[in-house]
Amino acid sequence: MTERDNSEGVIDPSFWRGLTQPRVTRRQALGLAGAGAASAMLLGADAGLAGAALPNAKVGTKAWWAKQKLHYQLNFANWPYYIDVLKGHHPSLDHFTKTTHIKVNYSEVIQDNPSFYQKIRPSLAAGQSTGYDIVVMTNNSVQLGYLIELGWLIPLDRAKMTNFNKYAGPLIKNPSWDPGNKYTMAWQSGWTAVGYNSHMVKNPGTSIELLFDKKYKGKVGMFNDPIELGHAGLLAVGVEPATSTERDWAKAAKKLQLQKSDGIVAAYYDQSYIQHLKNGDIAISQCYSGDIFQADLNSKYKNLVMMLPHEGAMLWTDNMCIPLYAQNPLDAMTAMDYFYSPLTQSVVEYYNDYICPVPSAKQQLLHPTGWNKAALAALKPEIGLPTTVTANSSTVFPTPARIATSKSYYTFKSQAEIDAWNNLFLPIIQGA
Amino acid sequence: MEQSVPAHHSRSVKPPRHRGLWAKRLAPYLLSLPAGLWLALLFLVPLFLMLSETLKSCSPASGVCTMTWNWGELPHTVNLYRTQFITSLLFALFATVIDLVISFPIAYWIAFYGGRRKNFFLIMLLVPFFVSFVIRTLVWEFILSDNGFLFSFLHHHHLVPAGFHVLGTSVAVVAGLAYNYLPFTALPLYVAIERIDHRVLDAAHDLYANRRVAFMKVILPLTIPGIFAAFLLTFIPAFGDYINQEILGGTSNTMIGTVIQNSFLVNADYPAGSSLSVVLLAISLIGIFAYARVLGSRTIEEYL
Amino acid sequence: MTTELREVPGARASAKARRVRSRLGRFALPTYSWLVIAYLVFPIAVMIVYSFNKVTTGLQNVSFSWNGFTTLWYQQWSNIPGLTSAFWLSVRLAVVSTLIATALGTLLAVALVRYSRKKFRGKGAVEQVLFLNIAAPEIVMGASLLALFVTYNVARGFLTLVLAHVMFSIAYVTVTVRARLAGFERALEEAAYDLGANAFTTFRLVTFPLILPGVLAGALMAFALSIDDFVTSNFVAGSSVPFPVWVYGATRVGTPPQVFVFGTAIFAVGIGMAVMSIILGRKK
Repeated sequence: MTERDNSEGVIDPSFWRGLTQPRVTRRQALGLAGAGAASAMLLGADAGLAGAALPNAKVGTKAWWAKQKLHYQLNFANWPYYIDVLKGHHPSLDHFTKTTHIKVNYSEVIQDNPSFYQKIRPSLAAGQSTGYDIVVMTNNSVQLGYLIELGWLIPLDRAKMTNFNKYAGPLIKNPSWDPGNKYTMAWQSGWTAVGYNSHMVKNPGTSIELLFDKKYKGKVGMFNDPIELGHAGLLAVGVEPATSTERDWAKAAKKLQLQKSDGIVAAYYDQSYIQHLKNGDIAISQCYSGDIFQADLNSKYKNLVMMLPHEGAMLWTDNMCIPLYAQNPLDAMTAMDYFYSPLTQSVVEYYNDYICPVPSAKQQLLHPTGWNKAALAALKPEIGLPTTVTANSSTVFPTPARIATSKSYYTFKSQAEIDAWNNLFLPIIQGA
Repeated sequence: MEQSVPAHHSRSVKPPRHRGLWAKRLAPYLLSLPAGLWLALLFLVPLFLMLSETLKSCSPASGVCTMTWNWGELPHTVNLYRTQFITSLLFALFATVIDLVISFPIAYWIAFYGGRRKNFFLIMLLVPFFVSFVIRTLVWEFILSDNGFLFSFLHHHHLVPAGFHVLGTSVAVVAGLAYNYLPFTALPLYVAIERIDHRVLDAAHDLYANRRVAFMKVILPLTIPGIFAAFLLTFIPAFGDYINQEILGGTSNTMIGTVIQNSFLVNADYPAGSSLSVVLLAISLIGIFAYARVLGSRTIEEYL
Repeated sequence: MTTELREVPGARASAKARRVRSRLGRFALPTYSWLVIAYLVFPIAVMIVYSFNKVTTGLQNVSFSWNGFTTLWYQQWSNIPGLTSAFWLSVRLAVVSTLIATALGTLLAVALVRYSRKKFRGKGAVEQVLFLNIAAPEIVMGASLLALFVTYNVARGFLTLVLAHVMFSIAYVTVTVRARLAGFERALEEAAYDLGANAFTTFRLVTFPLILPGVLAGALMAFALSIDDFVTSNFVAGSSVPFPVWVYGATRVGTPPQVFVFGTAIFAVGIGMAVMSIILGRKK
């Protein structure tokens, strides 16, 4: 009981309000994603379970943070190909270690939200360290919602967010999935769009219907994440995802089932779709924006093109957060804020080409002013394109108009809704 | 009670033998205790735990499971995924039969004509095992890919119809299974054929059996236990395999292993995953017990 | 005599047929066998060849087209931090679990060979468990271990990997050692006892040297099983990721050429050990 009471203290009441009565300003409409999904469920029937797992409320308070010390080590779990690489090193992390003496163990272990959540969940449930100090979870996933909801994230140290407060862009500052950035700081954002091979697809058009075109039977890749797959279906049946109903979901599922039974889908992929798209095993696929841009960088895959369909493209944000029982929280905090320096972000983005959380990194790409000058120069032969291309790319520093046409994910209001969604879309992916 | 008497009596005469008596009685148990405990706690207990897991209900968020005696979970889940079970059974069966057909002649040849190079040929049979399972499956993906060197060559020279592809089809999965488990088939067959006394064959020939008759009436019957062992040792791992399907398969050939793996590692649906595992184990056990019953549980070890 | 008479007409034909067939055996069978061997070796050859392939793209992944020969990936074998640490983790894991499994498995094998059912009650049950352990589908064992560890809040990591790897190696070690022990001369041990050696000295000086080849074979088996294990490891590995699990995860987005370098190296070491064991075996 007392633990339960503590939880009310840990989680900002405005968060609940935000979930139940979404205030739809334009920017926030974009962020209305699946993140808060679990809240209703846990406030209701599952409260007992949540109570059992709730951590000490003192964790993450000002007093708690004041007691933390640097351990000069950091375990960082991220998605693959999501940070600058130069000859087996990460220049941005190297600079971090050089200036702070914090040794970073950076592992690219996250393939998708659900399975990574299952990796860390048992440890958290048992009250043990997950082995990671920073993990990166997507706002469209129910798993980020679970983590916040169950009190499995350490509230961030407000005093250590200097760069963030100064440089974070409006897209990811105070987002709807984590009001006031209590638990998370964005790593990168991006679109789930349509990617195709221009050698194999001659008249792509601008519609998401390309994914359902019988001409490309057996040559279309879809995502194996039910959230992503379902939203592609919703866009294809002409429904606004954020305000869709269960009836719309059924319609979308039917469309996707037909796409499968017609033999259009080659396979349901995780991150491996990009490999198959490059190899020509598939001609068209659901894709993440940065992947296509990265592939396009080297002359070999000039033929890979990203299309943001006129029906809309789903916009998501991956978020850094500190899991409970993390062993080096202060080191994690230091690193997270370090990535909000425009200098750092210019180096990361030169390689990454996702949507940059720090708009002023654009200036740093055009006119580097510090250590990033040498780093960018060293990266250049690897990347093969001038920094101006990244700086002027509308998929890295998007115009407000481009953001406005993006779509936000559906926000689940109960576990029953999540189950209903999964029951519709999972059989398509896992079915025989 | 009895032990103490001779022990006392003999202490003066033959000390070493006597001190050992107590220990001797306990020796087999002491020797097998560490391994026995390890297997009991980490092999048998988990299997029973899994059985109880099928009756629980788990929260998808926290993953906390409570016992709800949900007897309906197992039949429900198995019914839901029966197509995947059938797919797995068929794929494993095809792969095993292909392996038996491929490896019988070569096992026969090595056993009878291998001569001094027998060991060399055996290593050649085992060669896939010297490369990681995951890597060799990845290499097959690399080879079978539409734009890989093999198919781009075939397409370029119009040796196959346009649009012909293997990766992502059931053919690719069965081929991958057959490749990966071939040594499991070939070795038991080799051991079985090798064991045949050549004089029996000579006798058959002396009795005017031609080669086919000698093969059908002598070699085949004598290798039946080996064939059965080979079948079991190939079929069971292939049945539960999911790597081949995940790497080489497409949308319409999901195997039960994939579903089990996803239940545990992606969806956190332990009851469903446990139910499917229990049934997978049960099907395997039918084969294992049939084998143990007919040929004895120790005989399979001879083929390892 | 009568048989010989009867043989004359039919036997000649069959002898001829036999000759034809044996020519078949002499050419068709070897040709076929070499084809099978080629099929088995083919993917490995592809792996080795492509580990020397240049990469022209920015993201350094194995490329389908031949871009020219390079030994760059061998020079930069440790350039992928995750891959290298996963590899060393696998080596450590294999060494530790081999040591434990070999010790436990050998003791069990000695118990099974030495003592009859009468003296060792439960021997039959132990044998059944070993058989079941070898024959049961790995995915079931892995999943049930995961359920065990999660239920009892055992943090997944190196420890759980060792627990699991020893579990699936013991039976193989026991079976291998037992096969070698079967022809073991009890009389030699008895002689040692009679000469006044205690149990420990007897084991050290007589028993152990005799069963050593069997123990080594068992250890080799355990090592090979451990270093190649994916299914069980994937279930019980927490944040410490062994080599096969890393390769499986990371190659979802493209295979770095270093994966083929490690594959080639493991292959070379394995083949080298196999060839050495043959040569050593010949000498004996």
